[in-house]
Amino acid sequence: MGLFDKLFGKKDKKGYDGLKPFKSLDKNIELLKDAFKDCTDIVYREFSIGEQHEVKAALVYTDGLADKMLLSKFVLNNLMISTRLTDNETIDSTQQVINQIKNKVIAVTEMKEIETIDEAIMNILSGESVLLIDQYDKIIIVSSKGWAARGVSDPVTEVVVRGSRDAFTETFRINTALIRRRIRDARLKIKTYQVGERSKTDVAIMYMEDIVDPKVLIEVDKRIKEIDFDAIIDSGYIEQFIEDNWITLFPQIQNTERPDVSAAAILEGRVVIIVDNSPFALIVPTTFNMMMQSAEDYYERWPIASATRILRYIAAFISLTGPSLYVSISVFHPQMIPTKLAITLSTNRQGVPFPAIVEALIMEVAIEILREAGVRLPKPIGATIGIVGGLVIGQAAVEAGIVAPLLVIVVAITAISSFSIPSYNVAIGFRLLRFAFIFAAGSLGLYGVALVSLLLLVHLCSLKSFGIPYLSPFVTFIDTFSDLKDTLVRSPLIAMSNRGITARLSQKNRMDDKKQENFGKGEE
Amino acid sequence: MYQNNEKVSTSQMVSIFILTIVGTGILTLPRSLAEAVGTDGWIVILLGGVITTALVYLMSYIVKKLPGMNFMEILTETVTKPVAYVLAGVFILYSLVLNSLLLRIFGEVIKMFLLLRTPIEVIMFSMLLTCIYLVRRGIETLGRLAELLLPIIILLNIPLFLLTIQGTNLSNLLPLFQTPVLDLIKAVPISFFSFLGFELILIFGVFYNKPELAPKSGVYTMIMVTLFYLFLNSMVLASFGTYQTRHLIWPTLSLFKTIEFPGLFIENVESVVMVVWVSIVFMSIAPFYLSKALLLAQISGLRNHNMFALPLLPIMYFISLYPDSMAATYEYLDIFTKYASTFIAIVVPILILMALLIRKGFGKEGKNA
Repeated sequence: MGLFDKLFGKKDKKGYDGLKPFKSLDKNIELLKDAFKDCTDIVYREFSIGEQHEVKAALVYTDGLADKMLLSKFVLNNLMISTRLTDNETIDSTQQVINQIKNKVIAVTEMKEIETIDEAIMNILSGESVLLIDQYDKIIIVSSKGWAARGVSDPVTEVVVRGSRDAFTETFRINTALIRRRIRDARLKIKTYQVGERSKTDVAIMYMEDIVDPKVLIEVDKRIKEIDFDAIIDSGYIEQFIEDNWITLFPQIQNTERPDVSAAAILEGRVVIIVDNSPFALIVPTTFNMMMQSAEDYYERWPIASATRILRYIAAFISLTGPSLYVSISVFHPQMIPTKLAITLSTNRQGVPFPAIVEALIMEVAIEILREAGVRLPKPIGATIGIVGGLVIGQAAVEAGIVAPLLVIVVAITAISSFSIPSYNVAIGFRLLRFAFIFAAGSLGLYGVALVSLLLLVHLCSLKSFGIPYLSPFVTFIDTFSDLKDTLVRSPLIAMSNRGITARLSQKNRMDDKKQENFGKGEE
Repeated sequence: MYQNNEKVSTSQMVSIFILTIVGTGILTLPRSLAEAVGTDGWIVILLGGVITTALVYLMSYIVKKLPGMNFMEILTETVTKPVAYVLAGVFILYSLVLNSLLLRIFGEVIKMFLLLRTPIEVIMFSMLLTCIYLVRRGIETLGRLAELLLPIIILLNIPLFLLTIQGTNLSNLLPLFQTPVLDLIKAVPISFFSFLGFELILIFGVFYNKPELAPKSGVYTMIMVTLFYLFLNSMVLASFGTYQTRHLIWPTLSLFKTIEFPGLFIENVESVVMVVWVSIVFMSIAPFYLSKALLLAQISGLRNHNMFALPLLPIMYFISLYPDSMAATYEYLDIFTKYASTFIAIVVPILILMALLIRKGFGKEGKNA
């Protein structure tokens, strides 16, 4: 397909680039109709303006993307009916008619004039309406975007007990507004791109002009501009095009559907990328530590939040190494654990026909299949999976003598642990790596586990997200010592005066904001 | 993809060197000291520490004086190109042998404490493969990993040492000053071996993001390592006494083996110690490995050292299998460190420095004229 497009696609595309509209309305409509050949969702409404119907005009828009009520009430109604009632001022030139229409007739909040056909086509496809007037060689765009969209609803993937309950939706503008509502500062910038040769998806980057690290900003800008793809369906596409390393299992870009998380990230000097049609915003740069945080950490009191975070790191460790520790201890190092436990373990495993590694693999694969089935199934059937899986994996497997009961406990704890990692995409990586650990444990025992852990650490250390080491602040321990306040422990907010590694140097301190130039802040 | 800038911060460099140095000496230092000088090991450690600190200062001074130059460039600049090739070659050979012997000892220890029935070849081979991964990622990753691992290792070691305290007897450290001065000086090379690793400063020097801080940070590194060795030596002696220490192959590991903590979930902390120790040795072998690959790239004038990582593996593998037994390994190591290490760590930096000073003299004359 790609080759085909390259050879023939570009030639087939009609050259509207920079084509100026004609004076004649009919010609212009013909041009548009030619461009939108076989597009049944484009509506052409031709009508005439004025008492004597002296001026012909047409309104072109996409059915379903434009707000019909608004068009009929404030555009068509005014143009067709109200113009008749206005007393005939001396209208000599077309220009005067146009001015009259723009200034007095169309009562819509946003309006602009453009001069090329391709712009008109782009606007029609984005949901705006195009007003063509006979004998006028410019095109008037009436802002009429309005389509059936999902409202702002609860976040599904990042649930919190305490915290705001609004989540991003598929509509680009609502998403930027949700963030803007949280940061009323003129220094919050929104820069928009159109990405995708065919989809022309709106992509916006949002950042605090004075806090963001300029190097990161330039890099984000460069990488988004470099994307060359036909369509951007979801922010996941953008993520994969701009990430640093595409071979790794670890996401180097955070995604969130929570506007509060995005706003907080912006205030740390990070860049939020909003993609139209996707309820997930991307946040760059991202460190591993940020992936282990939840929005709620900052809303609850700090000792609780800190304890939760430490718990999460423990969970991450278990979710990585749980079954592999079972395998290595039961096969290679039974002397490690208390004698009584070792005896229980070996009696447990008596009668199990498989070596420990096979046993662990069977259970792990089974639980992964269960999980995958549970995710895709509709809710009512999902519950059945839980029962069937629980019974089969838990009791029946033990009773049939295929696995040891202790392994069932280990696998269950591991599975639960992997769900307590806040970022789903990190958790998936861990689940996959768990198998590498099991193989290592099965062949080299604890030594294998140690080696694979080292490999994993080396890999994590080699990762960077937009120039920031993925494991910071742990890997720049001394240089960024104060960043540790927001890692394993979440210090009291009053102690977290530091914006962290992502902010630019002059803006490291959160609390000095007022002392700095009060640009765009108004009265306080 | 984002290009790495191949720069390492001062604290990362310090971490790299602490781990590299400690990894080589930690296991056997107390025994060899007890054999040679009994309870006066601390004097030898201090002497060794002072000497190596002076050498580190010399080397990092060279790095500071010739910032942004890699080892080959420094050598060519100071001792002419042909000599530079010879010296670099010697360095690679030295690093190869030292690395391989360390690897062999590592394999023996793992086999004895963790994997009794696994062939040592598998143990060493898998270690080398892990090292290759790090070598291919380069110095920046090494720096980050070192700074990440060092605090973890320290944090894990503190409780381990605290647990060993109950078995110590401070009177084991006495009597002091029993050894004649001549014997003490003769024993210095023993402690010298435990400080090996610092000679990599010349190779990693080019990666300092602030070369002007190199001498200061180098001295700090050596002071920390010396203090740690003093502490370790005293702990081992206090636990076992001179006589017993002499007869332990790996007194440091035996020290942790004495820990008994009934009621703990993990009854035998030894395995945990081994896991920690694997990472320490890894951080000791990998930098040497990386230095070889970097040096080979510099000699051949290539910018990327990745392609040299894999070909080095079989060479190291076979050298490490050459000694018949562990005793033989230690014998080779002793002879090797006595001559090769002295040459690399003492003669080479002094040679460079002298050439530097002579050139400086010429430069001044040139200016005057």
